[in-house]
Amino acid sequence: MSVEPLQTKILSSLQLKDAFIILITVSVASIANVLLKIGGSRFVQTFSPIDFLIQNRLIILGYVLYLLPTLSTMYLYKKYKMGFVQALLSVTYISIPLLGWLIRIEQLNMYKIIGILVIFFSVIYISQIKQS
Amino acid sequence: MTAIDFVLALIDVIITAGANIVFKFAVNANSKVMKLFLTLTGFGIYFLMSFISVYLYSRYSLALIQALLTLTLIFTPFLARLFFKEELDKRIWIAILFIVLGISLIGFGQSQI
Repeated sequence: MSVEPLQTKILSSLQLKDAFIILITVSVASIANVLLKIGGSRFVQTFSPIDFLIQNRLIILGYVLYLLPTLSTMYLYKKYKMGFVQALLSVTYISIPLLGWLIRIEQLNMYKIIGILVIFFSVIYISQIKQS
Repeated sequence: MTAIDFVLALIDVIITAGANIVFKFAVNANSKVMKLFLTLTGFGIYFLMSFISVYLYSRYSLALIQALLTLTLIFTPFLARLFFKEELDKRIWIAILFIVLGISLIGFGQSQI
């Protein structure tokens, strides 16, 4: 597999529209994660394909939802460095426990709240950095 | 967490980081056929690794598994440096370490519940 030199220009800082794309990516990925979590805990093993799809619809829906964040991540990879994109998308680690708490499948405590704040401010800091 | 499940989580992390590299190759590919092939390969890897994720999610808390999967944040930039010569600003690396700390705190917090 040959790697062509990267021709597209890598942007030095995050554009506003891309910040919205990241927000949407994180939101959909969080919902997909929670669906996979709930679906995983209710997994039904069956040999009938139709029965499998119906009984495990939450898992299926989680997989389908993951398509959007994957495609938007690829779009971001074209414009920014991979590590930069990955670091920004790590805000998903905040939204998942918060979403889990909102739908009452997870509890929050002081450690989690501090962890969420650390991630939040780190991501804000990263988004302001101009890359060389 | 059992040792086997921990190893599974690490495999998930490394191969998921590899899938990100495949997506980057897809973005850079010249031909549409290669773009499509690499994109589908990346999806396929994600799909296969998701079985491990779903298994781990069914056995452990969401926050704990997320804390482990955060290692993708470390592996992906290393692989990007290896394959695409992408160098990250040191400040971003420091922020990534703080993010890993934050995620670890979330996982630790989960263990206290």
